[in-house]
Amino acid sequence: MSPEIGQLLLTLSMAAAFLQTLVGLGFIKIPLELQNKIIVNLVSIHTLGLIFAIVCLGYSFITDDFSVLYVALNSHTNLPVQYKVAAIWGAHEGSLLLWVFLLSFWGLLLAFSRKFDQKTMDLKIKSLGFIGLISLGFIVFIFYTSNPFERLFPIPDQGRSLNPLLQDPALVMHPPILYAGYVGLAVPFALALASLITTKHETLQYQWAGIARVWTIAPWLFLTGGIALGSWWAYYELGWGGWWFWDPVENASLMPWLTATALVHSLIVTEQRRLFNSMSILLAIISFSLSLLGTFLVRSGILISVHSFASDPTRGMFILMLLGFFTGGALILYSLKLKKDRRLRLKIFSRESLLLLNNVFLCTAAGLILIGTLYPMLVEIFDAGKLSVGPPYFNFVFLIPFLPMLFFMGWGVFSTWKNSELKDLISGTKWIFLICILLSIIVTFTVYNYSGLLTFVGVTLAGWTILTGSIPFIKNLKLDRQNALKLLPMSLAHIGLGLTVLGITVTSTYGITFDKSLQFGQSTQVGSYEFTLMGINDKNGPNYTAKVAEVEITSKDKRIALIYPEKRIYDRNSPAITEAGIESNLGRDLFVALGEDVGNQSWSLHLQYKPLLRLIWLGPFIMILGGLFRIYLSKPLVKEREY
Amino acid sequence: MLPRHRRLSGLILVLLGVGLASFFVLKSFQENLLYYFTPIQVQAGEAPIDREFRMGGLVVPGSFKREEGSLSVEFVLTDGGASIQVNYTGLLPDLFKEGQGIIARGKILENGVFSAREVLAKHDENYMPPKIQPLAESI
Repeated sequence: MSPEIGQLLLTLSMAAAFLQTLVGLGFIKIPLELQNKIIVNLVSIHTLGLIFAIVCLGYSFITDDFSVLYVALNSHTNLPVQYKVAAIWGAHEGSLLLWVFLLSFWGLLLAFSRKFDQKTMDLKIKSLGFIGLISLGFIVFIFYTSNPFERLFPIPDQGRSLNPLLQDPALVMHPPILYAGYVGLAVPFALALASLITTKHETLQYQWAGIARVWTIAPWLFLTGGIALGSWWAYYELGWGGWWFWDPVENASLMPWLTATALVHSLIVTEQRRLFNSMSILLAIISFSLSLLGTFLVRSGILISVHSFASDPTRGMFILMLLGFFTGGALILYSLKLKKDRRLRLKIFSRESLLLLNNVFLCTAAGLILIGTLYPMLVEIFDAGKLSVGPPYFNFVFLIPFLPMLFFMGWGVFSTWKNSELKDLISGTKWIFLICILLSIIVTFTVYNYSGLLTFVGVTLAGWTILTGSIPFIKNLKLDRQNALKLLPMSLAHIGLGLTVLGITVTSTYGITFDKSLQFGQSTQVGSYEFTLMGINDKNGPNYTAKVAEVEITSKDKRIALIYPEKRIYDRNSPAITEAGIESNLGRDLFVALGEDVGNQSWSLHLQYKPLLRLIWLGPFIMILGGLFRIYLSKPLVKEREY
Repeated sequence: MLPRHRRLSGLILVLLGVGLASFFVLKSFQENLLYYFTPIQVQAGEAPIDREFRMGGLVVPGSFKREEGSLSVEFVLTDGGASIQVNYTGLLPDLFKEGQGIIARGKILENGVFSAREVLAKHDENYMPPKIQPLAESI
């Protein structure tokens, strides 16, 4: 019964989304107050329908209803119950259901937001109309190509179970968080489009920016968290201890992050200086388009192989059509309806200019990643051979816009609106810069050892980002507490980025990674640490069996830790899964992954020493704190008149 | 310096920077393109000699040999038409086994042996798409 109810609820949501579009975009003429009431109700129905549809799917999972095709493909009676729940979004159909649910939920938050007054109500309603349209497109997509409630006959006795790689706590949380980020970028997108078609108040042209800022920061937080969580998961679960691979899936999440970061900064200028409105709108469109592109890359199967995509292109083509429709439509609207920006001669070193410059750098970085990600697919589609773009390309070209960006970030913070001059910037920051260089000399020459200009520059710029980010806050703390609190989100975000840059620089320069085979009792040196293979034991888990190695790590003859890397086998047919053994603190990570029995009483091991690795994930965490605090600051103090 | 001149020299500086950056980007792009060849193509001499590339195929059952107690292995990759011997030192991916489709990255040596620097089991995507297992079983 429950799949049928789920299907019905999905239909209900589709109808609500349809009406939401009609009412929101003003196809049905009704007075504003009534329009608002109706649309809030429609958004609620739309969202509730999707929540309960997900609950229905979850019920089928928990009751092991293998008559549902999606459950049969992704569950098993012996799957632990938390992973049965996680399996709801473990594969294509369910994850799309989650996608539209999150979209409608963002809409719900927007609908009940108290930040809108009489004047901006129209903006909200139109935005909800656009969100309804996006949701409608994707629900149709679900019905047309990827219905999770489809039945299966004859009913199998047992399911195929969830991919063992996905049976992991971090991965249970990863897709919802990342999706919430992707999908949340629909809100600034919708607000930007709504600002284009709202003609009533001239000032709305800029007011949308003030509203959209928080609505960009919120999904940006989720993107940040999702990317960091994905990287962390890849590090300890995929087995080989890398934390970033420039895999198309990772790139797909990094690109909208970069442009959304640019959008947040552009919106500041639009709100405060009434400038760059066209850029803000364009960035909102680009960010959501990149989200859709990410959805396309992950969901069309094009990444597995262009040929498997070509042999069953319905899904991919449908998402591509949605992508074309929303991006193309938005750009057409943009070109037709955009009101001319205020023209103003900008001083080169004013804050406006520096923010503009850094947004150009951020977009350049996103563009260079886009080229490297899409080029191999395009080549293959046109049958011009099969190739891929290696990680060194990304590592290198990312630096070209990113290093100058880090430098100008510092000046951006110290500059003032309208009229700061180069000499003021230099005299205001020269001591900070010298301190950074000094610190970098200490770090690269004494703590570690000097190994090239790039490392030196990286550490210097990391320190520069951290110091320039935090000094304005510290200065204001004594003088003007109120102002200091306003600066805190910026400070935290910049400090977080600086820490991440520091972690990446140090870890990639000074990290040690190699494979080695060890006999029982034999040891090997990894940096200043000695790793000894003590023995291998068998272990029985709830739905797997494992070989567990015991590895002792000593430094200067003192035992630091015993770690237990595992090789798990979930069932006879599927390959083994590597669970790494990790001993970590803020200063360094020690990592062992277990290979296999190579004969002669030896086992192969993958060994790593990674200094400051944790900073790579601590940084995003601090950025998230900054963003959360910014959202907290924007909460309305008094509840305005209920509409 | 006149303001006009200053603006002009600024513009030239920016153009120079952008030009230089584009040059390095293109160069890096060119250098890091990893082509993919099948054993048939490699045997026909289509693959470059001095450049890394990727080669995919099935591990021929019975061809896998390991130097006892070490990480050096050798096996033969085939695409049905041609067979190429592959040497590799290091850990093999979890999905690696005889009969399995894999991709090796490395260079072809003068004696016709492929010296691999990295071995990826096919479908060993960083995010393994869940649909892959049923797909792999059906192939």
